[in-house]
Amino acid sequence: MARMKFLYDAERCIECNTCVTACKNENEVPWGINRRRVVTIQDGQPGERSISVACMHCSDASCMAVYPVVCFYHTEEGVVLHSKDLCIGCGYCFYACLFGMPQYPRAGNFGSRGKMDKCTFCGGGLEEDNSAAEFQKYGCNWLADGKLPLCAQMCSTRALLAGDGDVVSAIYRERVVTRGFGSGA
Amino acid sequence: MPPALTTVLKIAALAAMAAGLASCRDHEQGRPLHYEQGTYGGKADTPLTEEQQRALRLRGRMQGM
Repeated sequence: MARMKFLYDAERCIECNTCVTACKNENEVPWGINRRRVVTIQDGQPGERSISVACMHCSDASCMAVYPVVCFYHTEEGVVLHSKDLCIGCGYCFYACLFGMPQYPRAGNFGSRGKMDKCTFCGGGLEEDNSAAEFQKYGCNWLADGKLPLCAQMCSTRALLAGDGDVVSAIYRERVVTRGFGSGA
Repeated sequence: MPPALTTVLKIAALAAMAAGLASCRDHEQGRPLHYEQGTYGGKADTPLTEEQQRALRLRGRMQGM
């Protein structure tokens, strides 16, 4: 299997934030943390565009390169996951990530960082698939059920695509050809 | 403080240090203590089965609408 990827179609995104809500609700993401967020440029102006951003599950991930305790790993599907048992909350991955995606729950009253939290491509973690322990640490595991991340499944306009990189890029290519070049695609 | 008591205290302190260091062994901590740059040291992930991967591929193709 090729690598799992997200692909955003800015022409289709209507900034409804369903992906954000679906992720937060399904994974019971802690207060103050968003694994996914919708970014809008030129808001209210001609040429306004929105994209939904989460961990990009980079093939050569910078977070993996800088982490001092090497808690990150690639699954066989190319999803970048991390072990919360090994994470020390140092924050290096946040500074290294090009998309600012690693998030840290507040662990104490003095602003100390807890274990890092980020998008898991709805792939759970190291614990037994769909177990309570896995859900508590990493959220749901839709991949184990043969399903794609909920953000992509819930996207009403299919602006957010998820899956095998070859498949989603073929879908996007077909869209671009159909609607023509020069439309901002 | 009498010299004998000082000696006893030193020996006790050394014994406590030795016991403390001995408890730092990897298998007693339940987590890796020695890290190799660029090598993930945690427990292994469970790979998806062929059936799960086939279902994911089908789901991916269904997005083309």
